Amino acid sequence: MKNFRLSLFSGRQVEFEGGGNSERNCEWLVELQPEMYAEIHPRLANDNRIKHGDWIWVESPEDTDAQPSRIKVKAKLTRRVSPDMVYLPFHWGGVLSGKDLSHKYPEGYVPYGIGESANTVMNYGYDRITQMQETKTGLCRIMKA
Amino acid sequence: MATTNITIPARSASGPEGKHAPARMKFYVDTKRCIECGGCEVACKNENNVPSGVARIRVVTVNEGKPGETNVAVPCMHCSNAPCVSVCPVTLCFIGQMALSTSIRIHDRLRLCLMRVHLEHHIS
Repeated sequence: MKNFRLSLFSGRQVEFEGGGNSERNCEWLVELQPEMYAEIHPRLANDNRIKHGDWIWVESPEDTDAQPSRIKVKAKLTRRVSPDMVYLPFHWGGVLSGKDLSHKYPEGYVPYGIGESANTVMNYGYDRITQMQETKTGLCRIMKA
Repeated sequence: MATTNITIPARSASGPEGKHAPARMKFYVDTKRCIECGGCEVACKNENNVPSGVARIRVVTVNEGKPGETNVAVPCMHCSNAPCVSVCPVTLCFIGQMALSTSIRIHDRLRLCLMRVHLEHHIS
């Protein structure tokens, strides 16, 4: 895993809950949190020449068709995270690897907010006692889109 | 709903009811407890049919992502039975009687915050 040196974490936004299906259909909640983002440290962003609001690729070692699985999100620069860490909220869906899938929703049922799903880049692995899948932490790398 | 027990000095209190009547109830916002959930904004929009894009109460975050991060709820202070107060999960807003001079000082600080948000919005 020489190429994937960053820790990847997923977590919640305080406005949303779970997969965000019901919340992303609420106009006022989407107004508060309009889009998917990745929180990165300003030092890490500076090393990769990323500015606040730039589109970035987050790639994980998980193989799909001999390609690393990846998502295209906006960068949010904050000192909440450490410089070797990327944080993703997991409430989003409707976009896959930069492709908009909103035409696959039934007509009139497209949520107000769609974005990349964080589970696309979560790594493989599970707990050997409880068989729980690992969807909270992992490895990743970022690059400017 | 809790109320604060701050007594009003007789000289500074001059509300709309009369020269020496108590001032109107003001909001007291405990900035150390706010988790910026946005519940007050959504409750206000739902109750008062406020269109999207307009907010009568807004949570302003100062020093985001740094030590000393503070969330300040900036209310419009117009409702007598405010939905934004009753919906708050950490009960940070109180409606109570305060000394007029104190409330003015708080209001000035909030106005500065709002101005800052306005500027940031226009710059970015």
